Amino acid sequence: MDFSIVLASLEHPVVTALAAFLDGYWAMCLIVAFVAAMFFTKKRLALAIALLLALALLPGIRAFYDLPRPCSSDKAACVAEPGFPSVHAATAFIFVANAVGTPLFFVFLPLGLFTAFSRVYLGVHTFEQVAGGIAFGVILFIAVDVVLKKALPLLRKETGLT
Amino acid sequence: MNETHRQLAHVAAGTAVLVSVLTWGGQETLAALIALVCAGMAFATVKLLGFSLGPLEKLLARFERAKATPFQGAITLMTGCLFALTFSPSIAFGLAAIAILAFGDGAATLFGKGGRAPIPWNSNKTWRGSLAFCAIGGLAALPFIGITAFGYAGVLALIESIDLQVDDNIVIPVAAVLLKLV
Repeated sequence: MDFSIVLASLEHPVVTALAAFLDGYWAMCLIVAFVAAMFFTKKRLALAIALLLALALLPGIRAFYDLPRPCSSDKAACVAEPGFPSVHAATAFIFVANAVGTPLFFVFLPLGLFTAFSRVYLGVHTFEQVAGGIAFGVILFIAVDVVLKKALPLLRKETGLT
Repeated sequence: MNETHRQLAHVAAGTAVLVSVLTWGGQETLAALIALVCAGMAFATVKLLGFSLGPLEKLLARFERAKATPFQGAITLMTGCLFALTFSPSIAFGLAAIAILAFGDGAATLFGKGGRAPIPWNSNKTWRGSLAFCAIGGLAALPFIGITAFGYAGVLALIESIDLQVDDNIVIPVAAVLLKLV
């Protein structure tokens, strides 16, 4: 059973509408999620840096792997560019990882999972491409968080800022 | 927390991932890993918010380090496996990376504790542990990538011995993939 084919063959008008909304307005969704995270999570700097790094690194990683999108459904327009890893899944799961330990996690987790699902449902990514995005997002956030935990006290000491 | 039990659980979990790929298949294993990562983060959140995890509390006390985020080890191990399977240029290499992570990293801790010669750049690690990582990690990865397994295990043992502060469950798969691609 190929999950990519099975999920892309599903059809439900509400799911399609929501998936298409995320596809078309992803930047706006990121901004709204970012504002919510600024208010309700604690690791705000790690979130910001992880997102910036993801947006900076992912185009290069995609070009390097150069794996094509499946374009297996007509539910959404499929852009002819590499699809691994999924930017939507990676950025969604940066928010999910950031929200661990806060009540916002229980909002971001289903949204993140739906985002990942929607990319395969719309036929614009394979299951593996989305799974890779999830792994990349979680690992990137953890790495940035650890580095900041070590770097920030040193920076504060050096600059005298608190 | 019993460190020996923790490392044996680490080896068992990594082995379970390998068996899952070989028996059920890649996509099913990826789906299971995603589910486990999400479940781990959910349990960690429940615990960090001050609620009890009921029967999972005993599991946490037995296998998780006191100062760590709850379920950190499980979350990072499953995420590392997910990364290895998706970013590796072949399934065989992904499995080799997971084998080195499970057996090599587990052996390094189990055998390293008894070592008396610390590594110059990291006094928390011993040469015995690093040699165990290389030998046992290499043996575990041998069926997947042949004799080059020992080469990769050796370099990863060196990387693992550096105090990077990031969890080894993440460092080892990421380093393995970078080594393969470069």
